[in-house]
Amino acid sequence: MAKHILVVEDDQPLRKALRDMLAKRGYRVSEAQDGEVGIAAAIDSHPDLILLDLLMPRLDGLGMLQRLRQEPWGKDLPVIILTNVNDVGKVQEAVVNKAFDFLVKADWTLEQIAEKVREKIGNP
Amino acid sequence: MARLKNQAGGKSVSAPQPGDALTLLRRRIFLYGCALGLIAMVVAAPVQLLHGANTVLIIQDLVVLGSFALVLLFGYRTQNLTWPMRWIALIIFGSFVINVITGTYGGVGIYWTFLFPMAMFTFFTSREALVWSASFILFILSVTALSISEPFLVSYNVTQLWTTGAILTILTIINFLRQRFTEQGRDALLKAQRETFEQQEELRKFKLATDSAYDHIVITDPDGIVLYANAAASRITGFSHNEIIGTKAGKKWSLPMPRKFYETLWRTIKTKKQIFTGELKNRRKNGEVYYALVSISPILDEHGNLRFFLGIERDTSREKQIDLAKSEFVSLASHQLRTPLSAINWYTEMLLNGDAGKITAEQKEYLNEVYHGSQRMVALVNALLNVSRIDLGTFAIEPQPTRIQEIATIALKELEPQIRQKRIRMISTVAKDIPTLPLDPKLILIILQNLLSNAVKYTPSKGTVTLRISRDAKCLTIEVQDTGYGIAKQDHSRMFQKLFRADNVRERVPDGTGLGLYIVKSILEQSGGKISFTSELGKGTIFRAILPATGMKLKSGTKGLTS
Repeated sequence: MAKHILVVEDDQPLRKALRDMLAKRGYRVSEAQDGEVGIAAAIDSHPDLILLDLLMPRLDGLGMLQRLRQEPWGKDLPVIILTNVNDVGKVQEAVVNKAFDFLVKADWTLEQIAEKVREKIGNP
Repeated sequence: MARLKNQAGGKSVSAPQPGDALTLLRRRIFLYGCALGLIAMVVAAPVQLLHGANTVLIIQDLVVLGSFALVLLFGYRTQNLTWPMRWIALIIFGSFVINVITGTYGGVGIYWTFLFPMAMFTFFTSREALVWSASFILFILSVTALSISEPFLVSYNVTQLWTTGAILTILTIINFLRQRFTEQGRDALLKAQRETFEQQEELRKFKLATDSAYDHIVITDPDGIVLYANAAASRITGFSHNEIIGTKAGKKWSLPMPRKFYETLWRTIKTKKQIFTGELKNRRKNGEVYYALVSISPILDEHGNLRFFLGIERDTSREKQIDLAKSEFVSLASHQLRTPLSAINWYTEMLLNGDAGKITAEQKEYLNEVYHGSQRMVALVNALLNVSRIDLGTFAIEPQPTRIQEIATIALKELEPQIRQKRIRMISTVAKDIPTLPLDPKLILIILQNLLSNAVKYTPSKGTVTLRISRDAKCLTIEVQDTGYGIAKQDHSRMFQKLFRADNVRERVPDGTGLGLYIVKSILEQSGGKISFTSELGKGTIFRAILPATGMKLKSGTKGLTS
């Protein structure tokens, strides 16, 4: 079965772009619009990788990451942080919680993100 | 000059005006001298009258003599003693001395009788005279009461005392009449009243002003012991007025600073006698920590001797909060701006990739325009974000061991597409022997990116761009030379201004932000470096960024810059 990626992003157009791009490359993609939905979906479906936005309503990215790292299966799950918040403090926190990469959305092309995903979990 | 009366201790702090302090001293000695004389009379007179003991009389005389001597010694030179009074006082004093020496003692009453009321009208303000008159009347009454039981012994003295009372009364009446009914007197009275009023008003004005001040103000002695503190000092530190007065300034609220800070502080204010300014970290009584901008001014007298220190502290916690709120706003706004830009970028990218079906050459061309426009917008938002962090002073400089050669390689690699596209000849001479230095790699990258991309941007095709990085004992120098359009003379002074773009390149290169050089200059200045350039129109430009050979200095801040 194809590798499963969970996209947690509150901005609908961005979420859709990521989903389409990953689906086109053959990944199985599911979506969540905030951290609460995201963590529930993650616990439910155990994805192979999570693309995670930081600034989100209800539960934000770092909150979700902390919850995820408490789960035994989620301890070492690859997570790529996608955000516009270029804040040293937030980066450090994400590193402490073992997020693998910290990307700034506007600066990255979809191609580069796809490349990063392939680096982490390989081809679909 | 106003005398600032200390509320708690009752000490007077007079501003250093020539003669002012001395007059005050004389007045005070006179006051105490007379008080001493009066006390001696009050205590000794009844004893003397009852027992008629010579020793007591002599002691009393000597005390009175001493106190009057003091009065004359200091009082003679004060301007308040008009000339007839001086002579009269001298004559009385002289005859008293002769009396004591020759033993032809006749009682002190006679001298007291004249000198006391006279002095009162020469030295004292009306309110002081009133107090003294009242105490003197009490004394007269007590002796009069005594005379009822011992009429024979005291009759002589009582006569003198009543004489004093009579002179006092006459003088008061004369004074009153003079003040009321002669023009000169009225003027003098008005003048005196006005002066008193002005003096009090001045004092009140100063006190009101300092107490209403937003800043914490203290006056200390040369050892830093607080003599005066305004209301804001209590409001800001949380310590009551009484808790502050008499303690060493800052002992209760300043958090320990590095030793060097104190050394500089004391050297500046005490040795150099100059104003010290700095930032302190303080703690209120309730434990809350706050930052304060402090200035300490040494106050010198006319001979240049240190008299006081004036310390003014401004609690900057509100400003810090506002700065933080502003910077949060900028962060949030940039996030909001960048999200739709990402959407534009990504969907255009997908269209260009043919993800939504094949596109025509013309469609591709137009989509490329959209894509580049959006990329420019991203660059602009990043630059604006950096500028706002620079302007707010919230950007951090975090030096870490860095090889500048590696950063230069990254910067050149990033520019490769543009260099290739314009067929620019890129010459890079980076000294290999530059050691690992404490530099902020992100900031160095921003400097190199901006200088190099400018050089490539503003050089026509097939031009040459040269990057030189070298280090000597003093400086680490980054030099970027191009064979480009150059900068017109009239634009030289405006090159580092925010949003400025020179006319000769505005048309040729539309996608500049006008922020790059401002950012580079700010980074360099904040990290101890500087930037300069030489340029000739149509020939090219050399930008020279210079950093200390020892690298960058740490600057704490909340945000890094985005390259």
